Amino acid sequence: MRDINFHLQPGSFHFLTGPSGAGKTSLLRLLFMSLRPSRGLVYLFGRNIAKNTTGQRADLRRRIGVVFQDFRLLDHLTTWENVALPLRVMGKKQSDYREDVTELLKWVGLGDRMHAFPAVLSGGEKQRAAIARAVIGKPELLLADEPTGNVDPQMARRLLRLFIELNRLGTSVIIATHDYQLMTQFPAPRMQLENGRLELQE
Amino acid sequence: MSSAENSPALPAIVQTRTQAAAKYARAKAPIVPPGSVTGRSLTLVIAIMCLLASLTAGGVYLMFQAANVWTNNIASEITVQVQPKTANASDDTVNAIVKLLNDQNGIKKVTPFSKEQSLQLVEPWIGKLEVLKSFAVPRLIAVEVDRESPPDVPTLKKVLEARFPGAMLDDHGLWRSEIRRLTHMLEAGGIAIILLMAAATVAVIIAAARSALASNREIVEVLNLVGAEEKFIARQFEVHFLKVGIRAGIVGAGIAALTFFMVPWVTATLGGSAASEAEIKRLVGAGTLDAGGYTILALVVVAVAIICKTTSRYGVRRILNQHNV
Repeated sequence: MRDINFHLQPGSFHFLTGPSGAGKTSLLRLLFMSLRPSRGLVYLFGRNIAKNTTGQRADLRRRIGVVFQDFRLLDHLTTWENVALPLRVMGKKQSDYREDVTELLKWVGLGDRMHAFPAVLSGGEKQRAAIARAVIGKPELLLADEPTGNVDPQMARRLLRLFIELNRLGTSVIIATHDYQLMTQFPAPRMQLENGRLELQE
Repeated sequence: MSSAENSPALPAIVQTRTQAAAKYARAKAPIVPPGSVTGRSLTLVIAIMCLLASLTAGGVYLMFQAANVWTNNIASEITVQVQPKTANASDDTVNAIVKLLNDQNGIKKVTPFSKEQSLQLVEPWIGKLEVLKSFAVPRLIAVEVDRESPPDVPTLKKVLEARFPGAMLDDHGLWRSEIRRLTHMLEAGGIAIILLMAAATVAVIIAAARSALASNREIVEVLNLVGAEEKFIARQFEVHFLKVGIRAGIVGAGIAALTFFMVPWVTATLGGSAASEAEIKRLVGAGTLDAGGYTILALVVVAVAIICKTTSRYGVRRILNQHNV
């Protein structure tokens, strides 16, 4: 990636697209501070992330929800516990979020898989659990890497609706995808990554 | 219209409301599975460290107590030795000294040893020989001092030795200071051993924390990604180390306590004669710990638990900082 320069307004909704290997995941990782730019600056919520202490980085990450392509669920925790993890990490009491987690899981179609461990979940189920974990904390920024790659079109629409709804409530959303069908369902600007360059298509 | 559009209202995570109690989800599912942090061998090593530390601490405590008993006994006694000139003369001298001592303040009891008794004292070294009776054996007078208001021993010594040539007064000061020096040396040695074992335990725990972090790398990464602070991550590991510390500490100190508890039985079984048993008892005390001793063992457990907890916390935080995962 080079000569990339963009600014996202709070509350915006973008698709990030481009061929495989164009750097979509890398761009998301840069935004999520799990990759350092070899050159250049990244500002998050108005703060230069290069100057963050580890404590500040943890603070920023709590304001961001991420859906990873490889889900990154913890194998020894149930689906329910995995989804509740960000809240637990924030130090919230379980009695304060039990119902929220359950309802969200029902909504993403995992109502009867709450006690299951990730090892027995299908790819699509894991993906939905990962999405639920990313949104449970009502993040200010949602980064999703191919969030509908493993689900059927009907579930994909449903998940998109969840993202749109979150966006309406103020969350900035970036969805990396090359599912054109999905992008046609919501008129959002597309960021096209190709040959290391970024092009914004309104 | 697809079912997506017909689906129920969106989840209410965006609204605040009261949460119903639920039966699902374990209250405190460990984020880091216990088995992956601390193996059985770590527990074993810490238990052994704790056992050795407990034995050392208990041993030092016992020795200290025995030394106290000795020095107290010695301090409450002085001995007068009378060099014999002729057999009869020394009898008179002894009687005169006894009379003089009885008149002094601060003296509880004066016990002159008869010639036979004096001979008995040397018997263990040179045996029972008839010929000894014709020898001029020094006579001893045991003097028990009132510890509340002791006499002025130096003056008494001067007066006694001036008045009765051949008489010597010994307040065992040399012995006492020797015993004190020895016990202090042993005490310092014991403390050094315990400190070394504490250092070894710290090193073992740091190594274990490192491998625990390595084998739980994925979990640490996920925790980092969902915004966990270092403190939070360290606590997930610390809890397991604390548990190991308590468990291993109790086992180690428990075995040590049992050992001390069994000492009289062991000496009785192995020692054989009642005489040697009594001798050992006189020399080192009963060999069993009193309440104070068991308190020290309990303190060892607490110390081991604290070492496990704090070392793992700082170890994990340091490693996290180094790697900056």
